Amino acid sequence: MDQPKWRRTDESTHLYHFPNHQEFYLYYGRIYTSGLGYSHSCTNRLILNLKKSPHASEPELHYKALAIQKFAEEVISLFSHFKPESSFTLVPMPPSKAKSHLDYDDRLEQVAAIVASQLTNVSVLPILLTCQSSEGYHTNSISRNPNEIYKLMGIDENCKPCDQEGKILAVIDDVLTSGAHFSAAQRHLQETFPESRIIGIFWAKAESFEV
Amino acid sequence: MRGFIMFAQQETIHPSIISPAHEIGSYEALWMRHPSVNRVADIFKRFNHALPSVVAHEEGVQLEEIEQTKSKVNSLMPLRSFSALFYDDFEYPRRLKDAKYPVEVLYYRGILDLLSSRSVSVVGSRKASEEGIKRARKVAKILVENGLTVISGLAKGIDTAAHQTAIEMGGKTIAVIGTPLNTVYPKPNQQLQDEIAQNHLLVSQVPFYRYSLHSFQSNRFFFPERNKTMSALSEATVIVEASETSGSLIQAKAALEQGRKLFILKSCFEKGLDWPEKFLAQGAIKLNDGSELIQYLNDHGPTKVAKN
Repeated sequence: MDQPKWRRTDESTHLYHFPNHQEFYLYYGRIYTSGLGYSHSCTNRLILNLKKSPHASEPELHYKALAIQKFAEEVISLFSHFKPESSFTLVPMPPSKAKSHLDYDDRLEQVAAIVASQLTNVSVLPILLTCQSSEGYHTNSISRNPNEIYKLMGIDENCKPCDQEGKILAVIDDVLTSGAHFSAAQRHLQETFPESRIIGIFWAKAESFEV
Repeated sequence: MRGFIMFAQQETIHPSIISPAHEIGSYEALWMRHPSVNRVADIFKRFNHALPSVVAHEEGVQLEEIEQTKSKVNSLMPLRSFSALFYDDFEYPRRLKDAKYPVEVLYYRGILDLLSSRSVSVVGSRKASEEGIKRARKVAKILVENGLTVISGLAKGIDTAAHQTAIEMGGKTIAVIGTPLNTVYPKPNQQLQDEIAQNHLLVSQVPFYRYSLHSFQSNRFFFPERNKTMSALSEATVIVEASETSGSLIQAKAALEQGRKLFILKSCFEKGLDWPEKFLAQGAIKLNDGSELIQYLNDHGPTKVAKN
C-alpha cells in the first residue's frame, strides 16, 4: 500500500492564534484528539509516547524512541511529495523547557536529525531557543498567547548560519493546536532571514471545532 | 495568488497532499455527476482510490465546478464546523475497507478517537415495541459496563434507545446517520444528534450538496448504505427487533459479508419471522438475553482481519 497521505491547512482549518495560516504552508499528517483521559487511536498513543518525559521509565522511553522513529519516517514520506531540487532546512520547535532545565526534551531535534540523515536536500538548523522555561504547553492556556511565546523564544546566535538563501525553512513540531507557537517561531525566523520562505510540518493537528 | 506560487515551489504537480476543503469540493462535484453509491465507488476503484481531486480531474471536472461545489457545501454547513476522513489518509479506519463499496470520504463531528475504540452496533426497528426498547437499553447497558462504545443509526425506536442509554450511563456512543451532518432525521432527535456531535461522535457518508437538491424520498437510499458503513465500523452488530423489511436486515447481511459477528436476540425468533432463522443458518449467533454478548466477543477473538 502507498504511504498514508499528509494534509495541509486550508479554509476548513481554524487556528485561533494564527488566522493568516493560509499565507503559509502548514502540513500535518495525523489528527489528535486531546484532553480525553482515554486514548484508543494509534495517533493518540503515538503522540502521548512522543511526549513522555525524558526521565520516564526504561520501557516508556523505549516507546518514546519508537515514536520518534515513526514520526521521522512519516516526515520522510512527506518529502517524497516535494520537488527534489528544493532545499529544506528543518528548524525544530524549541521545547517548553530551556536547555539548562532538567526536563529539557530534544525529541524534535532527534526527529529532524533522522530526517536529514536520510534526505540529501534536507538539513537541520536548531536555531530557535527557549530562553525561559514554562509549563508544558498543554497545561497552561495563558502560554498560548503568541506574543508571550515570542518573548520566551529566541535565536541562538552561535548557530546562526551565513547562508540560507534559496532554502525553505520548515519549522517542525509535534502537534498543531492554535498556531501560537508557529506564529512566534515564524516571526523570529522571518526577522532573522527576511528573504526566506517559511513552512510548518506537524505530526498531528489537534482537533477543534468552531462553536 | 501567493498560495498557488508557493504550492508550485515546494510540491510536485502530483496532488497527493490533502487540502480537505478542495477534496470535499471535488468529491461532492463527482457525486453530482455520478449520483449513486455504486457508481462513485466504481470510479474510485478504477483510479485505485486516488484523492477525489485526482479522480475529478481525470473525469474532466473543471476547477471552477469544484470551487462552486465547495462554496455550496460551505453554505450548507461551514467547512470549519466539521471534518472528513479520506481513503488512505492517516486516520481512515482500516475496518471500513471491509465494506463492499467503502466510502471514499467520511464526514464527522466530535471525538474522532472513538472511531478506534471497541464498538458494537445496536440496531432495530423504528416502530419498536416497548419490550424491544427495554431490550435495546439492556444491550447498550451491558456494552457500556464493559467499556465498549455503542454504535447506532439515530433512527427512531431501537437506535434512539441505544444512544440514549449509552449517554445516560456515562458511556460513549457513535451515530452513523443516513442524512448529511447538517440534517436531522427524525426531527425530534435534534438534541440527541447535537449532544452526540459535541461529546461523542457523529459520522455520515452522505454528500451535502447532492442531498440538498433532492427530495427526502429520492435520498432514502442513503439509509441502507449507512447500515453497511455502520456494520463495517463496528466489531459486531446486535439486532434487537426487526420486521421482514427492516433496514436492520441490510446491516445483518453486510455484517456477515464483512466478516463481522452478527447477534440476534432470542425474542426475534419467537415472532414467526423468516429472517432470524435465515441469518442463523448463515452464521449469526442467537443471544438469550444479551448477558452472554461480552463472553462471545472476547472468546471468539477480534473481528476477522480485512481481506485487502
